[in-house]
Amino acid sequence: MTTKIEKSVFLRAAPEKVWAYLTQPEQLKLWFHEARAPLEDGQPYALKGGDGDDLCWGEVTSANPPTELIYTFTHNHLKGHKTRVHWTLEPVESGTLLRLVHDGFEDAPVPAFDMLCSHDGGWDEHLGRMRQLAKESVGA
Amino acid sequence: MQTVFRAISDPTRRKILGLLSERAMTIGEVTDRFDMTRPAIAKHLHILAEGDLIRVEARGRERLNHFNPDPLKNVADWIAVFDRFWDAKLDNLKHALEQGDDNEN
Repeated sequence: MTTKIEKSVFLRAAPEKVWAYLTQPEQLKLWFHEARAPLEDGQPYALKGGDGDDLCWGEVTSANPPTELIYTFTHNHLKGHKTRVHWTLEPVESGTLLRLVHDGFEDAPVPAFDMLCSHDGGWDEHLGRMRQLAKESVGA
Repeated sequence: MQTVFRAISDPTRRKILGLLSERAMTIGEVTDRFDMTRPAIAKHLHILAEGDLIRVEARGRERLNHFNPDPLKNVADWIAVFDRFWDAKLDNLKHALEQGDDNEN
């Protein structure tokens, strides 16, 4: 079984612009969550939830604009356990191929799945939607 | 859940699980298939039992180790939550970036 998530998406924008969306507070707000400060190499970062609390946070372990960004990633449900998020940006014709690898779930103090489905403070509206999807797929 | 991750983090234990997923075995039968001592196998079985990945059934004088896949499903579900999380976020990103194109260029 795998404990690694791999995604890739083609984006109709230059790597420099995609980079800004991965690292700058205002752009992060448009698709993820607003960062307290720009993500910078070697620096801790935090993304704010709707209630103003930190939603997820970690430390940028490598930043090579506009090609590679690596940070540790945790949130309340991971109880401080650090997973790893690795972005790579590859320029392709008329855009960018953005790749994501999210791993490091081994040994994470993961809550039981039913706990994840319960309303225990919540992660964000997206997780709420995913909970619903997860329930549906489990019920199927 | 942590005990499940611990249980599957070791290659020998993953091999043991693979064997037991085919049929239930006694500790002796498991030991025969590895170049390891019986106490070493017993320890692995103990860790697997802690993760609830195997269940022991007493049959007469024998103790049969059965594979229990349920906890693995929880792990897969947990990873699936992140999987869907990123799907949703990358969808947002594509939307935000490509809409932004029209405004800025």
